Formats: sequence, structure tokens, C-alpha cells
Amino acid sequence: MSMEVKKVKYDIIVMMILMIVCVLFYFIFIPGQIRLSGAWNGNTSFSSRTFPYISVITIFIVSSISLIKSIVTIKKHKSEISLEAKAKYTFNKKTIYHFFMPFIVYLIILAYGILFMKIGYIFATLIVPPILLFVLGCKRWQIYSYVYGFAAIMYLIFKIVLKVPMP
Amino acid sequence: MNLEIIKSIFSVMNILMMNVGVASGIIIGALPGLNIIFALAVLLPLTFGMGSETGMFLLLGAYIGATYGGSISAILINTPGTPAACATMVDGYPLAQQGRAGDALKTALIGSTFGGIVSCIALLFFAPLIAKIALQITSPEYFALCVFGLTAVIGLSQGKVLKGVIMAMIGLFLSTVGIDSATGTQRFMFGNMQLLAGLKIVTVMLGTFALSEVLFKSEQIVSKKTDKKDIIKFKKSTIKLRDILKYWKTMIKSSIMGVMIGAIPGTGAAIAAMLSYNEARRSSKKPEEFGHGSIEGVLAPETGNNAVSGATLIPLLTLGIPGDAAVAVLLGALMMQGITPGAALFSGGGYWVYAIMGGLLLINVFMLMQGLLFVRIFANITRVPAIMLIPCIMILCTVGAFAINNALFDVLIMMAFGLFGYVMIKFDFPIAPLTIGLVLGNLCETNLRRALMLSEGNPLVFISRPISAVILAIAFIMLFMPMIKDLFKKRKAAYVAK
Repeated sequence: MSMEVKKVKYDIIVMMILMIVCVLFYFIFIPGQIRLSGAWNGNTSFSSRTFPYISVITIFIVSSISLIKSIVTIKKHKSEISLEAKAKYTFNKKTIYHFFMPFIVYLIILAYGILFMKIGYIFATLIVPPILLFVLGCKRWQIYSYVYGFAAIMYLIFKIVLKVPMP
Repeated sequence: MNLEIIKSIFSVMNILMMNVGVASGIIIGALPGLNIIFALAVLLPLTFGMGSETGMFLLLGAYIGATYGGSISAILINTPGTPAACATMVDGYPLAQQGRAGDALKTALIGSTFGGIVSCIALLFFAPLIAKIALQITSPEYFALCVFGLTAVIGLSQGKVLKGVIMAMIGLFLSTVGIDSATGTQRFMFGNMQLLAGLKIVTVMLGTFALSEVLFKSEQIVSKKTDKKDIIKFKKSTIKLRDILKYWKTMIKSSIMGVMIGAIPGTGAAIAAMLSYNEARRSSKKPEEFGHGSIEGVLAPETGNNAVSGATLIPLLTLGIPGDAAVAVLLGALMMQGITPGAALFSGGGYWVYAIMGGLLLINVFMLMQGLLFVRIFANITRVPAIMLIPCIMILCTVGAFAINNALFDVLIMMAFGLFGYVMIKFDFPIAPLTIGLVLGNLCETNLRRALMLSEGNPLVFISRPISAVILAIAFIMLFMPMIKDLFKKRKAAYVAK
């Protein structure tokens, strides 16, 4: 059940963020990024802003309902939360490593995308996948070679068969 | 015209791509955690350099193949490759434990092929009839259908209806990026000309479905959640075709159920498989065998889930409404080739529609052939370590996103959506409504605008027209049904507790 409470707590944060984003879009981004001009937009009941406004308002309303629902749930489980607060949550190297791993992987993938353009597919593929496998703790050399094999097949398919001008 | 369609279907390139699609689909479907949508999203960039039919056949092959592929890991490692294979696992794995893995796989293959073919026939028969009715539909009804498509998919996200609505709205909002086709106004381009044509569906899908999966897999690998499961060795099948076909009643019943469920947007193969399994158990002469390794228990769900494949194309081809996220990818592929599905596709002989139908029929035959010939190879796919998939998917996503426009911008957009998808799934937001919202956004806005303009801004136009009112009513019932059910359950529980 404490896991459920944790989820509800996260929901409250996410819904609040969504509501703030909606407000920003409603008052700043939609008027700033959709400039109305001409007969099409000025004189009709449905301008280029209408549909984005409908979407943003709906997101805001649904997020508010979800927020209220989460707050009610939290209040219902108040005693449980106080117990949970007393329990110490230990952060060790392992848990931090597990938490950050997807983000480390994401940064490596991002680096691959940039290197892909800067130094080309072949060199980027030679450098990044082994780093990624190493970071994930892969020790079997066969896997490294399979990945290179796969990359070579992809190169052949896109460059030669589909004639994509790979960098 | 007929000869032209047959010639097109049987061209060497098309046949080759159907087979490549089926093989890729089976392989991806057999890998636990990778589903049909993933298969379609990663194969979509490959279709850019192909002719429109060839590309479509590749994707249809993957769609059919992945539905069957999910049963391989369900039978051999007790982990369904796709959600549609959950019911197959119940009897497939016990059969494999008894040394009958080959029998279970052969049964799944025969059932899948039969279901697929029945589904094609249903598509061939019903789609033109519905298309005739669809020709009478105008803007308010089309808008109502879009709402129906959205709510149907939101309804699939059990217990997360509110989050589903938010994701669908984000999808609709994202569909407005770029030039407004009706007024020529720039929207959310932030001065970037690369956003002129809007966000590309493929880029968003590669990010949210494929790249986010990489991040989840990396998390599982470091926390050792991908420990090796007991993989049962493949053993050649000894079961004869007649031993499977003696359950013909189960096959027909499951096929009909699959077709009926598949034709309703927002249902899907998993529901069809589960209902077919339950019905087979209920009407079986040996219900006690179910759950302990029953051939009928594998046959029913596999027939049911593949019978969905052709039926889901009925609303797509006739109304232009995708029934689930996988079909939304197919819709995206069609639109990228300049083809807008809907009743108009049937006019002028319906070349495209009948080519798809014929191709689908042939794809099922190829799946049967590949399954019979290469089942041992496909069975070995389940042994591929998850760690190997991560760099492979990274390469595929990057190259695939680049191939759309030969621009780094698309790669960066794909990566941004990868992170967005990962974070949203982490916070329990379903991704499928986002896809449907993005795909249906333009159609939804255009018809809403048209309907409001014709009615001089009167929003009652949607409920004053009977068809649109009925569709909207069904849509809202579908949306709120899970909440109403929950409420009733809670009341019942409280009453029992009293």
C-alpha cells in the first residue's frame, strides 16, 4: 500500500506541473506562437488558436480532477503516510546507480545522435555502442561483435538498398 | 483493374517484402517486451525508399507476424512476447514442459493462420458495405467518430482513464504544430522551418515506443530483472494436422469472436484471445485439461488474436479511424505515402483497398510457410540477451529517424520524445492515446472546424444530428464505463462489509 501512496504523491506533483504548463501555454505560448491575421482567422468562430485552446483547457480540467482525486486519497491514508515518513529510506551507491542508469544511457544515445552527424555513421557506431555495452556491464565479447554485425547490416540496408545519404 | 491488383500483389518485390515483414514481425514479437507497435515503428523508416504498396505489405507482414510471434516466447519461456499471447501462455507453457513445445508452436501457427484468413475474408466482405454507408457521413459525424476512436483507446488504459485523456489531448495538441492547413497560420514553430509540416508521426513513435523501451531495458538490466528464465528446448512437433483440425468448431468460434472484437475500435487482440480461451474452455469436452497443457487451449486464443488483424482494418479503411495504436502506425504509414484512408478510398474501383486485402491473405499463407519451415530458428530468438538489443535499437532508431528527411533535427525530436515517453510511462501515463491523438488530430480539427462553420458556430450540431449523437453517446459511455464499474464494485464491497 505504501507504494500506492508514493504513486499518488508523484501524481500530485505531475498534475501540478501539467497545470502550470497549461497556464503557460494558455497565456503565453498560444497567443505568442499563433499570430492571427486575415479574414480567415479574424472573423470566424473557429480560429487557428481554437483547437490548441480546447486541448489545453481539457488537459487543465482533467489534471485538476486528478489532483483533487489524489489529494483525497492521500488524506484517506494519512496514518500510513506518517508511518512511512518515520521509516528511513536508505540511499546507497546501488540504488543511486539504478536510478540514474536510464539517464546515463539516454545521454550516451544523445551523444550517438550528435556524433552521427559530426563524424558519420561508421565512426559513431564504432565508438558509441561498445561504450554503451560497457556501461551496462556487458563482458561477453561475442555481443560486441553481434552489435557490429547488426550495424553493418543496417548500413547496407539504408545506404545501398534504400539509398539514404548517410553521413 | 482486377488483373492490375493481382499483378501488383504478386510482383517479386512485394512478395519479398511480405516475407521480410512476416519474418521481422515474428522475430520482434518473439522477443519479450517488444510488441507489435514497436515492430511497426522500427520498420516504418524502411518503407520510405519503397513504393507505397511494397512498404504497406512490409508493415502488414510485420503486423501479422508479430501477433503470432508473441506466442513463441509465451510457449517456450512462459513470458508472452506481446499482450495478445497472455492466454496462449496458460496452456502453451505446460505443453512445452511436457516435451510438446513443437506441438504447441504448430498448433499456435495453424490457429493464427486460420484466424488471419477468416479475418481477411471478413474484411473483404464487410469493408465495402460499411464504406457505402460511410459515404453518407458528414463533418459532425466524422468529428464524433474521431472522439469515438480516441475514447475507445483511452478506455483500454485500465484504471488510468484520466491519464489517458490527458495523453490523448497532448497528442491532439501536438498535431497542431506546423502550418494550419485551413488558414496558413504558423503554429508552435518557434521560428524553426523544419517544423513547417508539423511533427512527423514516425519520429514521435520511434521515440515514445522504441527509444523509451531502450531506457526501460537498461533499467531492468542493471537491476538484474532480466535474469535468465528457464528456456525449454524446442522439440519437433509430432502432432498431425488432422489432430488440430478436429477442433474446427473452436477455430470457427474463435475466429468469429476475433473478427467481431477486432472490428470495434479500442478492443484489441488481447481481449479477443482471452474471450476465445474462456469460450473454448466453457464449451470443451475436456475442460479439466485447460491450464495443464491443452491443445485446444493454445488453438483458441491464437485463432482469436490473429482473427483481429484483418478486422481492425475495417474501421481504418472505411472510416479512417484506427482501432488501436498499432493500426494508428499503419494509418501514419498510409498518410505518409499520400493515401488518406476512408470511404473515398473505395471509389474508382478501390485499387488500394483490394490490394491490401489480397496482400493480407497472401501474408497469412507466407506466415504459415515460414512458421513450418523456420520454427526452430524462431524458437532460438527467445535466447537473445536483452543487453544486445539496447545498442541495436539505438542504431535502428537513429538511422530510422534520420532517413525520414535526412536531417539531424528529426533524430533530436525522436530522442526528445524518447525521454518524454520514458518519463510519462514511469508516471503511469499510457502512450497509446498520445499516438491516436497525434494521428487523428488533423482529421478531428478539420471536421470540428467545418461542422462549426456550417452551423454558424452552434455546438449543438453534434447532438442534433442522430448519427453523431449516438456515436458521441457510445464514446462517452465507453470512456466512463470503467469509472462506473469501479464505483459499483466499491459500493458492493462496502455493502458486503456491512
